[in-house]
Amino acid sequence: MKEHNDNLQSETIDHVIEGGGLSQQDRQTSRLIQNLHTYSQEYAQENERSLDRIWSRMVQSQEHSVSLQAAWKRPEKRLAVIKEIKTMEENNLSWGMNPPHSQAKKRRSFLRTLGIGLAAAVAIIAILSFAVFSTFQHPASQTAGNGSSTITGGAGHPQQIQQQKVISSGKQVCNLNAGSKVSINGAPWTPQLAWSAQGQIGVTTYSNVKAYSAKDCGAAFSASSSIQQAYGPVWSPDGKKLALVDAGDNSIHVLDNHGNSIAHLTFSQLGTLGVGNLFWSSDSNKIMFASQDASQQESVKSIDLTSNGKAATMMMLPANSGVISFSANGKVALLSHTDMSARPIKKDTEVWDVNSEKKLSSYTQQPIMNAALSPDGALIAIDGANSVQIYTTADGKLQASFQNTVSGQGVHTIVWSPDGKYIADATNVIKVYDVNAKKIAATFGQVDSQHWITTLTWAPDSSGLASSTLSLKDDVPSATDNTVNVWALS
Amino acid sequence: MQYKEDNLLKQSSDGELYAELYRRYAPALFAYIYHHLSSREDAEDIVLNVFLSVLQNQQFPTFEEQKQEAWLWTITRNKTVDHLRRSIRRPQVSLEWLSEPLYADDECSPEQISLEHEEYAQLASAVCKLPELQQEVLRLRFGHGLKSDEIGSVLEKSGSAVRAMLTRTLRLLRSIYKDQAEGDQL
Repeated sequence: MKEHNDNLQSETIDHVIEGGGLSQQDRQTSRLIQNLHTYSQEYAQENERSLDRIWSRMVQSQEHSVSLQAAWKRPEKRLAVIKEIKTMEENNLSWGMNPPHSQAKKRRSFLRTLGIGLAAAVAIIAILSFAVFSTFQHPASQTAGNGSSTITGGAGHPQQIQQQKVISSGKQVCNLNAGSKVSINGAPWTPQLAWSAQGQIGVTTYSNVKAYSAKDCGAAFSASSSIQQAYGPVWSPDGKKLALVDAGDNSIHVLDNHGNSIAHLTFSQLGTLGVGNLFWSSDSNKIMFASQDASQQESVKSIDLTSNGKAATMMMLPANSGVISFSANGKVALLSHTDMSARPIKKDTEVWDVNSEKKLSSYTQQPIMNAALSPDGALIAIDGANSVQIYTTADGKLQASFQNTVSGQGVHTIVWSPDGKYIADATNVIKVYDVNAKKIAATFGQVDSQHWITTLTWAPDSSGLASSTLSLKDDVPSATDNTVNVWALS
Repeated sequence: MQYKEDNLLKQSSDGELYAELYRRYAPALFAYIYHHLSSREDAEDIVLNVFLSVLQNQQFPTFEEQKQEAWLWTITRNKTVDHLRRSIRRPQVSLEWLSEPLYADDECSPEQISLEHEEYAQLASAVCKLPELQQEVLRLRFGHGLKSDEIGSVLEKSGSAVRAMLTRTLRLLRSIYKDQAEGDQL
């Protein structure tokens, strides 16, 4: 066998891929590189179109005062590669290159047109079968008077006694290292938390699901089955079951409060491609979740754990909409919606009344860093760039606004207390706002610029908060240092 | 990185400045977000938000280039994490970037089409058998047109590690053509 004169060296690999440094004799390397360019050309062009679309939207945006030119300058080398392929195709050079992908483009174009047509045709699909939804409603919710505040029975924990105390400070109870968490398959970096009615804090990390005592952060259990890349933990109202999604094998797990598996349902079993936030029914027997099918249509499905575990579709979402979250009583849904027919395309955040199948209000301000519905769905808290604003969902009227200037680039987190009286918001510090008094009630847990507070969860009786903190190294999130803090509010 | 030497950002008008900034960083930032979200639409939204943040930050043009790059990556990662926390997770996109060309041109002979089909099938099959990380490096290099250093930023690895992996991967895939050439000579 002839010794191969190898031009593939790591020091020059970028140059070689761009067509330099290859001799005429190295036909195999040239052929491989050219074929990889050719076979990925359609995908590469789609990416170029994405970048064009983003730039175009930026030019059209009214949110800045900079006069941008109509076209951005594409990197010449990227274009050169495409041009080179095209030239070789046209000339049918040495390797019998393929003709331009006219059919592929036509097929894509047809599908795009068809997709847009369908999307337009079903622009406002009525939400189906909300009667079933009533089983998810918590019985004790009620909204006070003019909607300026909300008192509920505890967001899925009606057995709890109403807390009357006023929060004015937060004090650390304990903390723990939650272990490593990296982002793979769409699972987030940060651990996610859920606080049970029985005083356990469930923590999902990269490689496991664990629970700790909220009193002293002592270990309560570790999931007995192997669960990788878990997210979205949520305890049943009775505190006996922990449901979560596994991005590793694309499934939903249900554990008991000792970490043993009760159910393991794959996405394919459930007839879904993607799963959003999970939500328990008040009887702790059913799980509701936002689902996305192959055509990217979203719906709300439910699983009855007492029967066969099959998913039933409860409602279809309007086209080009996705569920952000539900109110704790299940009566109100928070959706993100994109108006594909508008030019430029418009996005807004919408509140829908599930029972009446009507949109209650929509919010178009930008940026919306995060938003959350009060437990009874009567109010929405929107975390914007520099303020937290509270609106009544029935009519979209502003009820209160809190200044919230954030230093650094922390992840915005906002959660309502289960009793509906407070909002906790975190970026680089935890702030608790008193919704009734329309003032800040407590500030604590400040972190430096190399940390982000990424998750907040309330104790079911609104007496405490748990937060997770992610550390950065050289501005990059660290996969190994994730701390969970438990705070007592008084 | 290749961009560090030029001073265009300091010399140009506002519009040109931001266009140049976009040219430099948007492809890698988009690839990073798409890698994590597997949703083109969401990735477009987040890149848009990142650059709108740039436009709204009056201090940004005064930053040194290194700080500009760090700022962009930090805010991109932040917005991606933020998005992931409250959105539906989708199965990761794997090989959709590798598409078989269609043969609409009558000038291609059936024999040639057949050969190219076979060649494509062999290459696709070989790519499929690669570890996921190597497939991702190929996708970012050929599908997103990123350099090794940019791929390193996307995958949170060093540029030299990416170059070594890319070289190993291409050597491995090249053996397909080598075997073919030797087969032809028999």
